[in-house]
Amino acid sequence: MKRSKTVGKVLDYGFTYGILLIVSFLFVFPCLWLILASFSKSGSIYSFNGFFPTEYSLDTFVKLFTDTQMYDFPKWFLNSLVVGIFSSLFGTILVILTAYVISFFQFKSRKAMMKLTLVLGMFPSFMGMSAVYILMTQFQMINSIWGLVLIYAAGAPMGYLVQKGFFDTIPFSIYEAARIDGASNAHIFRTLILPISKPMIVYTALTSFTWPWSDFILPKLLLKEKSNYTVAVGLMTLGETEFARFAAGSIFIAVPIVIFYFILQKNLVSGLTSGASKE
Amino acid sequence: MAKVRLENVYKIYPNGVKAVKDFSLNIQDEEFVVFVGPSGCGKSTTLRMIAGLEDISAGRIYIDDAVVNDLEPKDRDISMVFQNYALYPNMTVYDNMAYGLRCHHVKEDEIKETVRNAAEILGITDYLDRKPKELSGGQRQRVALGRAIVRKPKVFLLDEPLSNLDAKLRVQMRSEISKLHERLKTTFIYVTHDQTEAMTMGSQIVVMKDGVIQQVDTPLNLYNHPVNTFVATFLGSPQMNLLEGKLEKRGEEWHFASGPLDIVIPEEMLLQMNGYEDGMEVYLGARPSDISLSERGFKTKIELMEQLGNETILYVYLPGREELSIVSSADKNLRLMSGDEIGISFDLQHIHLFDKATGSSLVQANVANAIEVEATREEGTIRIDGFEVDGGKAAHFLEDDLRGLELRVSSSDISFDPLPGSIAEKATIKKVVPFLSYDVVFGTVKGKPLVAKTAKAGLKEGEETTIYIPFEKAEFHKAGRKVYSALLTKEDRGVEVSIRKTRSATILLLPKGRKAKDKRYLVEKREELNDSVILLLKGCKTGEKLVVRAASIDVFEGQSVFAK
Repeated sequence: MKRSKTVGKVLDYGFTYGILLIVSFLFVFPCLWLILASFSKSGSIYSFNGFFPTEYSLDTFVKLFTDTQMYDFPKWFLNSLVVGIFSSLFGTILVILTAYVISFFQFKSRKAMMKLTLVLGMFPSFMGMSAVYILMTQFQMINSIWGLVLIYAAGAPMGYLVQKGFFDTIPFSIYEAARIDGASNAHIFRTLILPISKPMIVYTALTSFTWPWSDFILPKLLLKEKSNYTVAVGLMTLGETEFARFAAGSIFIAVPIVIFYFILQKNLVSGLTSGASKE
Repeated sequence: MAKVRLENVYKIYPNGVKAVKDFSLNIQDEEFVVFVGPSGCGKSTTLRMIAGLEDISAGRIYIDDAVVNDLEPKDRDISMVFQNYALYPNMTVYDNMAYGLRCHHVKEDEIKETVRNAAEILGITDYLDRKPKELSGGQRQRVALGRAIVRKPKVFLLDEPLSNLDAKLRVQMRSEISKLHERLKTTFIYVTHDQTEAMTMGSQIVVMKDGVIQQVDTPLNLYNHPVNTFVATFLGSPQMNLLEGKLEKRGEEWHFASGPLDIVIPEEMLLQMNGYEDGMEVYLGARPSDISLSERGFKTKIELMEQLGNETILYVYLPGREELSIVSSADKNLRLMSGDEIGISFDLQHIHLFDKATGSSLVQANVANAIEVEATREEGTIRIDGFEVDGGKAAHFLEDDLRGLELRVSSSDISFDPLPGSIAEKATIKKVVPFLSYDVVFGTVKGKPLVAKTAKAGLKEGEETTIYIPFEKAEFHKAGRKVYSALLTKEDRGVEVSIRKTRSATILLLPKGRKAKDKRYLVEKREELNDSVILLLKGCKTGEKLVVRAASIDVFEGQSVFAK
């Protein structure tokens, strides 16, 4: 009896860990390979010894930033940064305000707007590609990173549900008590709501940064000049012989995100309105 | 420190639900008024309407004789304490209390003094630098009270502030709030569902059910003279026993009979009763403390016994009630056990009788008295029992023939002292029942029963006296229909309209040939006359006055309608 139990256990563990190993490998290997490829001395992918590069050096990273004649990586990086930061800034303001209003106030078209947003949100964003192109042409904002900022910021409030859910947890009686105390709507928002919402604002800023940062479709559609490219578009213009540079560039753009997340992680997890109201 | 008055206040939600119906109340300065009732009876809604957090659908609310219907909460000079405290979580206790004052741009040193004073009164000076999440429930409630105090409002509104505290803390905070009321000398309006809180804290209790006021009075009056079965069973713990039975007239005596139980109704009580007849189905109400153990009493068996130390609760079966009835005894030397046979007897000074069909008590202290009067017409004026009605008012009598005219007036509007503009009638006093702060006089006028409330002392039973009925408070009926209208006259019967209701508005359709000067009208007065509803409308733009009439209009004073 003992024997079959042990055999059973072995099979069980073996099966479980087997699957886990395979899946982890499938996830980790491409990243690992990319990192290795970015350290390759030779740019071409065909000079690789099977999967892995033959020689390693830091040349590629240096070239990434210095060889800017054809591929201006620093400029692309700057563009991406600008688009990301400003989209995040304006987008956060709009989302927070939208979510707050929908959560706290009752007005005639409230239900209708919520339903409309839900339905419109079900359509994939690239369905509106042609419309966006024509609109941007009318605004004469083709080939401008500010056009990108406009689209990203304006589209941000569509994803207000998470923020609204957060505002729903703030007891309405706090708002009523402040109204009775004599505060105006703006005063209440500034002195009471915003301070409580710090974790949610950080979360919103972060998520509205990562989307524009890594988006490809919209910049490819709207940006024409090489100097206006974002990193996503720029990297795709690299030729076959520059694979190492491509890998290096890809690795590099992950860095700011990781840094941001680490710094702001504390804020994200911090406690909220515990105890201010009995709920 | 202010008076608060609610006149015919309604709260109607968009889906048609009437949360508060025809709420009228007069609150004196410095009073402690408690709204009490089961969940969903509309008490919190009414409080929130006074605060300005809910729109008033119809009617008017006055604070210090100024209409506040359209004022923002911050302009009404009120403070509110919420059930869940609603403290600002990101601020310290000090900042929480200073918030309101800062919004009103009070100087910082003044704020400091005010906050410190309030903190001292409430015993929270040590917590001024803490945030709400670092405080216990009781401390948080005190901060909420402190925040309300510092603004020195005219009226304090408290919405079930003690519901979230444990029992012991609740008792402590109850006395603290009462002491606070005495110290601040400000009007307090307090909402609770706990009848013990209501009875111990309020000077005036408003008992509500399903949006309607059941009775307004002092705790003791409500306890001793409940106006219907709801009030009777809601207040008082343990609950009053209600036994079903019949009223039987035997010779000169009236009995309450329920199976083997037979009780003679004392004559004193009969003098106060009204609207009863032989064979009527009634409830006999007897509080557990008004039922005593007696050797020769009605025999029954103890089913269950609860020893509380200071009193013993006995559960017995009594005729007329399927569930167990409760008897409580304060006798410390009770040597009884479950299963023992006992005899019980009712304290006849403290029994109640309720009409089974309506639930109303047969003893009513506030009724619509009906008095037959004689009206004579003389060249443009009308004389009613010697009282001269001036020409203007005389035109409001809708019929020429005023024979068989009946005057109706409510108990609280009758005066025993001469008043100008009132009709005098001779009355005989049969019984005077002392209530707290006023007496109720049961007597007769022209052979018919009379019930009047008075604060006048020295009225003796058996005496003949004169009562004075102000003309303004009287209603005139003939053969069951109203013949005097405040809005219509014999000549002008108002314009008959038909109603069309849309989701958000009521539209009155005027008959052909009649054009309305304005589009929107405000309902100034509403009167129910026999089978119709009469409205006095005032045009919002032109001020045109219009009197309209329809079979039924679901619109009340203070609301607006459209007219076409």
